[in-house]
Amino acid sequence: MKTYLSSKANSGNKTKPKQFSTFTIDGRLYGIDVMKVQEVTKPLQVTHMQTAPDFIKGLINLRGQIATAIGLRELFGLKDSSTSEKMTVVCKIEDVLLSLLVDNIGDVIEVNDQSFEPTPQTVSLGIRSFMLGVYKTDDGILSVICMDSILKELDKRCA
Amino acid sequence: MNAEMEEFKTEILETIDRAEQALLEFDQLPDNQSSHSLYDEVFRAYHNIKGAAGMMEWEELQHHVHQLENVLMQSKQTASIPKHLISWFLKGNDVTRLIMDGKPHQFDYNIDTEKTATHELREDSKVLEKKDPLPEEFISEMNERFDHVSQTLLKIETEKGDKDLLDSLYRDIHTIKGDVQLFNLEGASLLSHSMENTLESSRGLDHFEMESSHISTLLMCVDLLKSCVLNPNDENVLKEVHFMISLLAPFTQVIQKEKQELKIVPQEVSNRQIANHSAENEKTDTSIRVQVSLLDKLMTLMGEMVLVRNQVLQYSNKTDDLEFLNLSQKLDVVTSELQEETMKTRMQPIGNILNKFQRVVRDLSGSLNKKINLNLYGVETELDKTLIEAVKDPLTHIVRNACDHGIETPDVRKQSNKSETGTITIKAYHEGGQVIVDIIDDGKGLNREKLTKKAIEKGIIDQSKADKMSDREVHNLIFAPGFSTAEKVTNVSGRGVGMDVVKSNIEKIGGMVDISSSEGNGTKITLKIPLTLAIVPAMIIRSDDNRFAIPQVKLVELVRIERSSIEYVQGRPVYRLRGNILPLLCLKEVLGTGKPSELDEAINIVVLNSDTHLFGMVVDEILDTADIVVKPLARFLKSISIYSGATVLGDGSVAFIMDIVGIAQKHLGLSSIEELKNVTDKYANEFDSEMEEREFVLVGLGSSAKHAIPLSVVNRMEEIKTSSIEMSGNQRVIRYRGGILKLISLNEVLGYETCSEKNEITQVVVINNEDQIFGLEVDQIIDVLTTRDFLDDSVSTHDAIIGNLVTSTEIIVVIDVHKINEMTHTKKILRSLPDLNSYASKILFVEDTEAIRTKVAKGLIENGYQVEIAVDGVDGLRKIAEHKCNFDLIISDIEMPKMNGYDFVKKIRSIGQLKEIPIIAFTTKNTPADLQQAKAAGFTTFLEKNKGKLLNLLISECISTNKRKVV
Repeated sequence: MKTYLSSKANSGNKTKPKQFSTFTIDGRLYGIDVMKVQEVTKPLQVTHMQTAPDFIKGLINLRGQIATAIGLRELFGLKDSSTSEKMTVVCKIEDVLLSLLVDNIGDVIEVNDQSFEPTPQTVSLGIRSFMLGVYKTDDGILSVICMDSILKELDKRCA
Repeated sequence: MNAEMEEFKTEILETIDRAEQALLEFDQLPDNQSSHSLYDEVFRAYHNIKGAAGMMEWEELQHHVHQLENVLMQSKQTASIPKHLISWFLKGNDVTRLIMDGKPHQFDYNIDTEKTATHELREDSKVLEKKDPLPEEFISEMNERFDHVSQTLLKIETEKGDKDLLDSLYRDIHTIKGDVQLFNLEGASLLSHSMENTLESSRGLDHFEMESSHISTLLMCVDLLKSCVLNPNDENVLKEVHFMISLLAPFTQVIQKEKQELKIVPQEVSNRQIANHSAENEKTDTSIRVQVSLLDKLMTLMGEMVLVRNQVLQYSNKTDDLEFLNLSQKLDVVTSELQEETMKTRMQPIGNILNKFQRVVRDLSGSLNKKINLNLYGVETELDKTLIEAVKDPLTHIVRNACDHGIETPDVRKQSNKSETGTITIKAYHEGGQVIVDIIDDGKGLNREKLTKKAIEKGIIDQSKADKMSDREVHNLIFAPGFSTAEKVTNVSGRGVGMDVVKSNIEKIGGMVDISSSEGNGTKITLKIPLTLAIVPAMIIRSDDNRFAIPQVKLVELVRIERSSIEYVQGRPVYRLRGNILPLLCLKEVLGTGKPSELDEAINIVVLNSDTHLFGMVVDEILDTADIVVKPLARFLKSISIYSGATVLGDGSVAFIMDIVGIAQKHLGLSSIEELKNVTDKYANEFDSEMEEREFVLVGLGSSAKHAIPLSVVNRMEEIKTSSIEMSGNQRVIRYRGGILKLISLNEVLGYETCSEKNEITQVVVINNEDQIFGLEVDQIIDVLTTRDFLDDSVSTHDAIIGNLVTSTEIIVVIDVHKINEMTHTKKILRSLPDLNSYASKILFVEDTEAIRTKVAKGLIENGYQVEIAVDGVDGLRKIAEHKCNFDLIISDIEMPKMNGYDFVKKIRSIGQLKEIPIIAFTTKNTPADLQQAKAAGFTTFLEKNKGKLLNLLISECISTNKRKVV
């Protein structure tokens, strides 16, 4: 990946910038490929799902469609499980509607491949397995979340 | 392409059904009676299939149907089909279906058609034989003329009633007729003559409108004329001509009739008649094919709309705005109507399956030597397409049962003063929002004594209970699992698929089955089927702040009782409902939200029915009934078995739909096991919660303690004849799978007493430890133990004993298999055994499609490989870990859930031992780019799935190359 990127950079051709929808949890900046994001909403009324694992917060009614609310905090295994989530990011992936609970919504930002780096090895595996890598931006370092791995993990953990 | 093929297939199947229907109707007619309409129906069906098959380039099908059509052609003149031919045609239809399914089939096309061929046809072929190729100029001239006719026809369609056009058309066709007769083109001349005839009748009308169907037919005639001229010697074309003429005939008649009437009555009438007629013809054109997925989507959207409507209505209750109230009322009405109509789009007449039973009954009565009539009522009754599919098999089973067990043979019927012909009646009708299907036979009915005797034999009931049972209860016994009343199992019914399956299948779709019978007079089975699955009537209940929906079909009754009337059996709450004990579950316990509050004096119980188990569920409040739209849960939530789905309630909040069967299974049927497991788990956790789960084979030896061998090194467990043990030097061996297997007696090694009296059979545990294979003789193989229990190695009395497993009940000695082998001196490794597992190459096959998995794995095993299968990448890695990387080759699909082939291979290559293992990508991807990607990921080679035959070759090549490399 790295060699590919550097060769691109050397050739001077600007690659098409990528857009990420950003949000924060515990002050950390995360991003999801904007094409995967259906919408961003204020938290809707959640119907709790008893007997389900803690990262499944319940179901919400998104204009007649039912989405599963996922607590990223719990899924990532972040220690501090205070409920400061103020917003949700709704993603549709493989026909499954997921509503991710996050603290704050940021802008949609554009990044270039030049600013990409793989996830540092020191990042705990609990989160690293969901990360595609990081982008160096002016606002800080953006951790890119891979929705496919989130869905895979959900399938695995609930099995 | 696939969708197209799918559509094609459905269409063909429908067409065959139509042909079959007509053939069966023919069968009802007295022998050799003619019916043009039926004949044409069959003919058209075959003809259409032939054409469609040709279009899809399906030669096999085309050829087959063509043969059928040929035979049918021969009875064209009489328009009747002899009885013996009907059976032949029906068989032909079956073969058609087999071809459609791609199944093997055999069919004898040579049938004695009793020389029903018309002399006309024979004459034709005589003439045709002498034909020479036609001159080119003639063909081109004719083509021009044909084109002109087509254009004129199209003009007539747009500019209705233009008499000049009609005249010009008539003239053209007349000329054509003359020309083709000159060249002795029999088919073309016949056809043009008929065309002329139909037009002749419409000439002379001052104002004439041609129906579009008439014009289409004429256009088809023109096309056919073209092919007549191009292929004058083709017999098929000639046959088509005859068919086409038959199509033209009705128009000629209609026109003539109209002409007659026109002379007497004014024009208006004729116009109306034409209008009527065309309306009838257009009926077939007013339906279109729509993808079921589109209808499903419509249904979902409709569901959403109903919800929005509900919300609007709720809101409107709070407001005084009159205009808004008015509008919301209107919205309500329109939505309800819309909902009703949308539901209808998925509806299909039940006749689609009921009509098929005509054939079933006809065939069965033949093979059973009975005379049975099937009467159908209410075939137009409609229900949801998915439900129609779901009731098809149960219905077939019931009808077959009625034929086989219900209806008696003719002599028996005669003796009991019944008519020789038995009757089965199927009635379908709507009642109370459900579709009711009654299957009534006038056969021998159910015999109480026989039923109870059988049930007692099968251990379903006991004698005392049998005496107490009402007739109705006795009749319902036939739905009990494992019950079959047939004294002998015939090939018709009683093949293990009992009425219990019928019952469970109907109940699966939320329906009900009932039976009533009077001995000697017959049996009536009633199916109650819901209209649709998408919208379900439900009861909304509350627990704490959450609302839940319980499907009405599972609900028996609602009970409100005093808390003091709850009693306890062994600590579990029960309630005496009208004298019978009703076990109680508390919804809060099910949900794990704590104990019910002790404050309320009154308790609400919903009495639920799960597979005949009645139980009561204590809920906080019973709210309301509602029609809910079922929404599926995200797939990863399905494992939480107490919910079957979710729904949006009127106020927009989401409620879970309770899976009553799931709850019952979790909390009633299996509760004892669950509890037991909890207890042992807890016990195990006290020792070592970090301990991994391990498996052992428990064996009995000449010591009172049980001994355990780790399952991971156990290859097989065998029973061998003691007499087959031979000696190789002083080593006890047996011949095993073409090689020699060293036997070690555990008793000897561990210094236990060897059983003095020799058994005939010796139990051997075959061990495969680090590629060394040997057998351990033991006295007894007891069980397989899965445990997390602590392995205590503090007390080890023997080198070959690792330690003791301390379980809750006993202490088990764990044997060190590795040591045992070392201790029995020989270092000679059994690797040289030819057919043992070390030699039979071990293959890991990773594939997510079950069909392919089974097929390929079977093929590999047949070719002498040892095969482990995995369903996806994750599973594959697990299997690799389980087998300690002990594989010679890995075959993997690329597109798989959870972990795809590329990732899987990358993971494998990162394991040191597997750096060199050959890995074959077995996939449908076949572009060079894919190949490149596969190679880059670490696949050794690449095979397309459609070249599966090459797989074995590739495997042996890979394995041998790899072995050479290793050497």
